[in-house]
Amino acid sequence: MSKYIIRRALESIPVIIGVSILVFMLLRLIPGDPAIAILGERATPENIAAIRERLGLNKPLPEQYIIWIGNLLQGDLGNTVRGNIPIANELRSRFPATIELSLVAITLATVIGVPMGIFSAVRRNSPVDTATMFGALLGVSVPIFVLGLLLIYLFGVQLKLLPFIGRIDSGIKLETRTGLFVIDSILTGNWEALQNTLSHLILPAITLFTVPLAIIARITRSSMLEVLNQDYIRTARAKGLGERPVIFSHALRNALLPIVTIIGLQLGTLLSGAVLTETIYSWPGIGKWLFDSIIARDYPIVQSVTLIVSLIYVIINFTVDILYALVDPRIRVA
Amino acid sequence: MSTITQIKSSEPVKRLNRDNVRLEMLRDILRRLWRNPSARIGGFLAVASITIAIIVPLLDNYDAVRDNNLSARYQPPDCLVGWLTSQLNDVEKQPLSEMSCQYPFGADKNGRDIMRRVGHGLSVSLSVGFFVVGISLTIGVAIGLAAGFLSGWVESVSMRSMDVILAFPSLLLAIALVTVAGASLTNGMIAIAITQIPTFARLSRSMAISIRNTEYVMAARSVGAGGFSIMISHVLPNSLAPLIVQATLMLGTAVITTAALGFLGLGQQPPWPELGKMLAESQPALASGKWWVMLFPGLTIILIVLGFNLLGDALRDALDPRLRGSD
Amino acid sequence: MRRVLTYFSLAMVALIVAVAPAAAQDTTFRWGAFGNPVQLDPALVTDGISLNVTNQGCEALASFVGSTTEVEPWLAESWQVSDDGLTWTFKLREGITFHDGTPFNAEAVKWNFDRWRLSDHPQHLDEEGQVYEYYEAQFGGFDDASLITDVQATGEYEVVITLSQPMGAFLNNLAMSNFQIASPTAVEAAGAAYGTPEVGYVCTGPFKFVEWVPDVQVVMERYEGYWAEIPGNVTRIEYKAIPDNAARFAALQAGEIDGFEQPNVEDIPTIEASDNMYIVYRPSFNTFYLAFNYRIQEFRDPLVRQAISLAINREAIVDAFYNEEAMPANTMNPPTIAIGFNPDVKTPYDPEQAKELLAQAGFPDGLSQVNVLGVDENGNITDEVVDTIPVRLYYMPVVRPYNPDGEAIANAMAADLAAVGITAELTSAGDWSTYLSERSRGNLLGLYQLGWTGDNGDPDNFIGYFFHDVNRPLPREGFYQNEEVAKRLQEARALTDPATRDALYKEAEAIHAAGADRIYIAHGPVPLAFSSRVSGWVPSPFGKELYKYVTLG
Repeated sequence: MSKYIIRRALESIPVIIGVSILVFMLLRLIPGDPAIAILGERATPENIAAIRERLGLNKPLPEQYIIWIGNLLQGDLGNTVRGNIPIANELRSRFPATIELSLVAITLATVIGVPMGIFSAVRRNSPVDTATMFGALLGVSVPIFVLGLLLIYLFGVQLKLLPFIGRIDSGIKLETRTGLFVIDSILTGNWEALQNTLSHLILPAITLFTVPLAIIARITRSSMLEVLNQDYIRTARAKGLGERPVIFSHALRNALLPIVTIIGLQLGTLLSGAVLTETIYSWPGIGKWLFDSIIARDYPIVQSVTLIVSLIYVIINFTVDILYALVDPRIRVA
Repeated sequence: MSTITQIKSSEPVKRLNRDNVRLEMLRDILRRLWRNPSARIGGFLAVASITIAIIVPLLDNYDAVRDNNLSARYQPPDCLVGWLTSQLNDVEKQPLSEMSCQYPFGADKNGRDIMRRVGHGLSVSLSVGFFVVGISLTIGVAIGLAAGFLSGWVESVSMRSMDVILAFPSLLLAIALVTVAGASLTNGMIAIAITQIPTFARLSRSMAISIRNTEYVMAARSVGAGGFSIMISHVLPNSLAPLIVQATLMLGTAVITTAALGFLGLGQQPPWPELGKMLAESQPALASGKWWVMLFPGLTIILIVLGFNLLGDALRDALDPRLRGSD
Repeated sequence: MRRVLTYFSLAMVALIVAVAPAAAQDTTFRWGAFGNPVQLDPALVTDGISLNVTNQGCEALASFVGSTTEVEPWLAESWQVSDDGLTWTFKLREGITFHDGTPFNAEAVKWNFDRWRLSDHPQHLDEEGQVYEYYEAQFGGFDDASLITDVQATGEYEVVITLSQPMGAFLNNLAMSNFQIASPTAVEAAGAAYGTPEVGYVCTGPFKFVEWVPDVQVVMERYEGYWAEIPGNVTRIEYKAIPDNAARFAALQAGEIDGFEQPNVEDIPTIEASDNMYIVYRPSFNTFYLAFNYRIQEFRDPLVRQAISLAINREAIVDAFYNEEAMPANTMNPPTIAIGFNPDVKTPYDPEQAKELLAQAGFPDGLSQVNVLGVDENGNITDEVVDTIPVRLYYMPVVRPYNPDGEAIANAMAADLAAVGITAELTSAGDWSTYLSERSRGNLLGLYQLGWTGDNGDPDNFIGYFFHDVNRPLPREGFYQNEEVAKRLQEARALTDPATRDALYKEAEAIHAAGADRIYIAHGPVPLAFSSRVSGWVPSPFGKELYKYVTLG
């Protein structure tokens, strides 16, 4: 087993190096550079050249790449081009924001999607099955920027039930320890803050969870169907076990592996896929930040943050593979 | 185990020839599909949208460049929809027969007929979907089969490259690629296709691995068939079912992602319509109650994506013997 | 599982019910901006959001009067200029302290000017990436290149600034937000961290910096030691980042913010009809234009340019896409400018005449393909045709105060052009950075949209900024060159007499317009949306509004 883990870990290294080269080269291929983005309508060849010089953009590309990687290995993420602010400082507040939103969305998607899938599988081909899958799919078919706006107008403006700007009301003081506001408010016993931050989470989480919901519901349904046809389930049924124990203690347990896999992978995509949701809900996370930084050609931010997001994706993927191998020994050999 | 292998193993007993088996299978699949309400709805939506997408450009020669009538800016729907909404609202009721039919779905900010643009936009969006899936399917399957069948360094290099693409935030990758290549619909489609290649590559690789050790492939090898010919004649046909299913599902994703690129101004270039872009443009009109600008393109996208996804799910049910159950 | 679901839904309901509306803090002014500040050191930034924040807490020697482009003394009490226009003596106000208690005096002013202009000043820090963009732009450069050659503290409250040549726009420059005076002690203590979220700004203005949470908000509070009277009642400012345009409007409707800039044109009637919201217009100090790239052989013919100018229905575009206060443009300088607006230049809409001119120019069947000319190594255009391409119309992929919807306007323009026989292809060339980059290299080969918002109220920062170069055609201006125009702009730049300058700018505009050298489309006043509890807003043509005038009900 340890041999497999080591091999799998070694395989991840070229992936990370590949991502770093890809992001570095892509950025340099995009027309325009940070100097142009800073100067806007006021760009003249002279001041563009001056800024390029100051940012070290005149050095040969391999040298720029090595400088960047060298600094990264020493734990220096660099400074933003616009504003010259250390990226590590910015990341400290933005990263937990995205993680918190993604975790809540994935939890919601699981809590709702898995029962939907089970329900659908058990009542297969009935109108209920169709209706459930229809409902799950509806979420995927509505683009996020439309869904987000509709929710804001309904719950924020018309009903005035839920807030839709940021993570917490500015009047509420919360001591941050982890940066995850829900955890922080529980740790400090600040119930007002907990309620406030939870209410801020609802609309963005609903907007973000539609895609993983559909995927989780469908994977659950199909792996349940697969398991429900196995001989041991038939045996269990034949033995006269009630439908409920059959489904929950026999079938679900065996269908769980692909479900867990897909939940893990969805979390990985959510972390990077929150660009539009974060924009609509003024959520101070990394998705929106990354997008803005591409537009502003803020090379250091895009490079470092993309690499970190990819690293997380690789780690999640790695963990899922290890889990798989633990459960299914054949994989270790393959 | 796939359908074909199961039937093949019973071949000597029943002495059916291959064509009959295939025909029987197809009939079986269609029968299953027909029994499934999701498949009926999905199939209807898919066929209807494809038909409209083909017919509209043939019947209507649309010159988007000249389509601009600022005096009709944000004209609400007339005709049937207009009549229906007037029944719901406190306005002077006009008999249906007297309603004009210039803007059945209303007009947008440039005073353009939304119905006409939805028709042409549907055609563009569907072509995008098919094109994207076509490219990523072809390249992904080629990579996946090569990796699965040849193994060794080919597998390592190609699958690690797929991991790189997967690990890269996909929307951001598409944005970066389009920005490098220049904003146009074609570049947007290629960028989205690239982000979808790994899915097909991984899928077909796992199919290839599971099939390469089966008896009939071994048998083909033993009679001296080369790797390539085995891939084409045995592995590919046997991987077809899951690939078709995946493809129908990805079609919806492709349409939505193109919409996201359109929202960011990186997809279809104006004045030509595309559903996602129309939806993005409708955003400012929503708060001021001009619902028709968003409703019609939005509804069309929802129906297309729903249709292909339902169809894909139903196909999976029908094609995968493990999911057949006792029906 | 069912039990879990039940608890979950119960919890959701409890939560929704429990969310009480936040108690309105009476004197907290909450502004919804479309983004985050870049940096809170006004000397280093160029973006409107950063400057909007620092304007609340930082002040310069001079200031603009109310909603005009006129300059009045501010931290300086008065000033005098020598007859040759080279030596300026400023008398400073007494008894002012910075937010950190440092006294404001002549030494502090000299320290700030030296920091901006001298690259070896210990706090200039260009090695660490500090870029004094506007100092370079307005005063020619640093060290020997700087038009300010010397700054001396000649008394506790007297500063003498020496220039290398007279500058018509000197006082306007000094009133710009980028030349606000910071506390030398604070900048020295923070070094390169001055202006970052940890430190913020330390100046003399009515609101001091409290906190900046990136992408959430900047908080400022009233500075009790402020030297002047504060007309309004705002005690705290929350300057929030709400990137989505529709979400900003929703936030105003839901009462989460008190105001924001540039609502959609579509939403203005809704706001005006509402009892809880209203609109204020910022006087227009901008111009939206359609530029020609002079590498296109056909566009070098004045007849073709005239035809295009006549083909475009500016009136209809302004009616449809701009707010009711906007007006079609005929010239680069807007009517609101203090000097240099030429009311005699007219650019009519006449498609019939446009067709005739096109025919005269040799294109009776219209125009859909054009020739691209080469560029030699000196940046001059050659006679050689290097490419033949479709007529392109580049539209801006972003919203700007002067351009509320580049794409829709381009659609309308393309239809107008099609009506006279010119078939144009629309493209944005990519995102905004790509657009700007291609523009500055002269690569937008066709007609392209762009615009300008004035920084300091002077025409040298308007038409003068674009066309003053006599040496060679500038790629960034589409290789435009008109020596007659450039000569007048150069001359006016070095004069101080307003009347003479006014005449020169008017002449330049007339010559520029005679050949339809560039097509001016609109001047768009920026609408601002407010909650009805806000009163006392004083709009500024530069967007330099001060919240100290705001009273919250």
